[in-house]
Amino acid sequence: MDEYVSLLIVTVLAFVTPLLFSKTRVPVVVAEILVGLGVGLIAFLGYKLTGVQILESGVTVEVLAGIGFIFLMFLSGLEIDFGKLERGGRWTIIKSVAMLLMTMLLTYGLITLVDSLIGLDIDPFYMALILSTTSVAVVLSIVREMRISRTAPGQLIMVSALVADVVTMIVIAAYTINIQVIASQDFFYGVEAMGIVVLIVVSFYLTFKLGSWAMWHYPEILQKFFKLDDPHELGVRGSLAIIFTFVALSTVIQSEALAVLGAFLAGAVISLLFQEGAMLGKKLFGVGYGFLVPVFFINIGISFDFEAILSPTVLLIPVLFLIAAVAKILPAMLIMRSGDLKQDIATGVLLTGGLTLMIAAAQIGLSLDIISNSERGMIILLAVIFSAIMPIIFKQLYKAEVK
Amino acid sequence: MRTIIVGGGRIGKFISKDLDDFVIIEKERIRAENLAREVGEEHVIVGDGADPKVLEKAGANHADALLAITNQDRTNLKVALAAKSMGVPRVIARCDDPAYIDTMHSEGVESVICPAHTASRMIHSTLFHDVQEMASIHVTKGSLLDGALLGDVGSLAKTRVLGVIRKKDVLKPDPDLAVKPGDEVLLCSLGGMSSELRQLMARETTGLLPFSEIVVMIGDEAMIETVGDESLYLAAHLGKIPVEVHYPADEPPQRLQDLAQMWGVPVEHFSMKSGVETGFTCILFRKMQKNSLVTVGPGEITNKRTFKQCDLTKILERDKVPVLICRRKIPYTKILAVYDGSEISMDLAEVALKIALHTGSSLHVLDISELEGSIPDLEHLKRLGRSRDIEVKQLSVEGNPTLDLVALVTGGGYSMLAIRWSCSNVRKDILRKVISDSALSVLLVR
Repeated sequence: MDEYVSLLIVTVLAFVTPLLFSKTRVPVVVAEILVGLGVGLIAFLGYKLTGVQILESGVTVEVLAGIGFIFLMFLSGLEIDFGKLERGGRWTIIKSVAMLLMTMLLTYGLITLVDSLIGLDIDPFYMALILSTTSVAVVLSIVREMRISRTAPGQLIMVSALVADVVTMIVIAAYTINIQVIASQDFFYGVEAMGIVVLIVVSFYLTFKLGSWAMWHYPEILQKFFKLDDPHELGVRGSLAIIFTFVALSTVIQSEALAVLGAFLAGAVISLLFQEGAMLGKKLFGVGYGFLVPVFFINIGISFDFEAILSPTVLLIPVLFLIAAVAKILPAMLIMRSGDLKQDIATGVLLTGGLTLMIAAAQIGLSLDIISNSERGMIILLAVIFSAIMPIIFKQLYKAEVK
Repeated sequence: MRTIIVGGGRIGKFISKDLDDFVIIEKERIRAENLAREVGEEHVIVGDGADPKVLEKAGANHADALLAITNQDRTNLKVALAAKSMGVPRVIARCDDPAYIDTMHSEGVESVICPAHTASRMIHSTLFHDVQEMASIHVTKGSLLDGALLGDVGSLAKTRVLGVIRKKDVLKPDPDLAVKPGDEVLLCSLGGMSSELRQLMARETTGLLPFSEIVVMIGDEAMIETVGDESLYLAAHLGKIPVEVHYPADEPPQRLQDLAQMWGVPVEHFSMKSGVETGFTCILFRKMQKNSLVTVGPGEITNKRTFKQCDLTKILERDKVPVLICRRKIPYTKILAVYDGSEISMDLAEVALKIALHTGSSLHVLDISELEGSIPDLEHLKRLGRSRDIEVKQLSVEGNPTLDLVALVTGGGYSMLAIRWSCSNVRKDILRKVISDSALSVLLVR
């Protein structure tokens, strides 16, 4: 199939999906994966019936989806509201960290327990990390929609989601780099990996310090980056340069996890520096969610391996769903203790399961052979189920509470 | 006196009769030709008065005055702005729509003439033959007139109430109408301004005082020239309100006494035993009046480690009184107030305006809130400012609020910044830096 025809199919799907799902309550990113899955399923059935491959992603779409993935992680970093973390206060952060730690321990314990009972062929720690993630984008949109962002429970939910996002991202990167180092059995590779991690952290710190210095001494120059009518779009160019500086650093040791972390940190440093750069944020979100990110999500659906999912692994979905739900709801009940059990349960429900991070972790896990192709497919389906169902349950519980 | 008149209608023609060195710019060719026959060809130019090239041809670069008096308010605004940008010293614009006057003022046109307003005043004076003086009183929050009935206002001032301007509406003088803050009450006195009316106006001016006393912290002799001088300057301009000076000596230093005498301000001296910290503690044990202002030097806030815990924040939080960090940027010429969408920041902007009214400085309000539209209540501040020839202007964020604030603070030429200690939408560490490291005086509220 011609490269541009593949690109045409993906871009047309990216255009029509939000229109098709506008009347439903399904988040657009979930809808994009579902549409991709639908098209992928048709192609899969067509191949099974005729033996002809009627749809292929092609190199161009794969490259764009790869950049879309990096850009998505960058936008996730950009979405972190450090002002919110600061405003939340020390106790809110401590509670959020405690909830996340308890979730990780519970998930790990439950997966190990299930493993000893029925014999799972998965890395329990890595799966625990994946199930501990939270979808910040979904949580923030629901909290805003319910108009509870300024209430104490709303603040705690948002801060918990942000903490879960940042911490799980860092732990996933650290864990996968560790696996790479052990697998390489090369001392110098380990040193190199360590050096790159240090370099990224130092770059993050220096970028922040340099940016803060420039904000004070040359605000007029930086103002140009945020202007609506800048013909050169300096802000977008600068942001891209920052993203690929961080990503390029990580490619030295060929670590996808580090590339993801690098992009995430690039977004985080811009958010940390400018916090309220609404205009630049809108432009970057336009570039990302207008083109690159939908390509990534639709391509996930199109390139989904239906063959791999037709295995007993699929039976694990309800088990993992239950583990993730219990591991989020129980800590919320024990730590939040708002005096209202239903509200605490609702919080746990909304924080259950990530979307972007789960898919990112699945991609990274597959590239490092930590998980199999069928497990990757299972995680993607699980992420879609979480993002589609949990907000609806949360709304029902929270609404009942408000009444 | 070289005068340019844009708009060759009846008014333009009428005005030109009293002028020698003038030129009229008229867009319509036929009207311009008729005009040329009456006033002379050398006095008429055909063209668009809003076009800088046409203005240049008319000699705007060396003109003394420009009158933008076409029958289109928008055109007049454009012409006035173009003339101002070309450096014409006196620019007057005609505005037919009273609702458009505020827009013209906010765009920077100081002299606006509204024929409707002028005519109504003339009609009033024709109707009431014995009217000798007209006055208007701007009602502020908590002032004597706040909440009063119009009937009572009339009898209190022994004068006739013509009406009330509320936002953009002119209300009839109903005796049962209650006056609200922000209203402008129009009064006319019969047979000269009554002493009651004068007293009332004086009391309303007192209502415009932002503070009733200033508590000054002076840690050493060097601070007398900064904190002492600026505090006394402010007290002098605020109607010589009392000043309480805390200084680490039994007797006030001679220099301080000299400055107090120079500014003509009553000063009460309190002795501090050891340094400013003790002074702060003194203040903390002292019951603050509702309208007190505490003034300190910038030295008290440079220690960032103790900044959050320092007595300064306790004053802001516990006593809820503002603190002025003095850097002696006197006389005040431009004040910048930051509005972050909170009620406190709006009140602070009003305090800043009251300081501007008494010190003759202009006020710019930077809107960093994420609220759409113009700042609520700003119209009231603008009207109050206009009544005393004080420019009140709204500045909007173009991209990033933190960057815009830093750019204004470091390069905007302001004398004072009025901002909330916990101002939202600005990066917190940069906000602390603005407060502690900038070169202008900072008025802080909680």
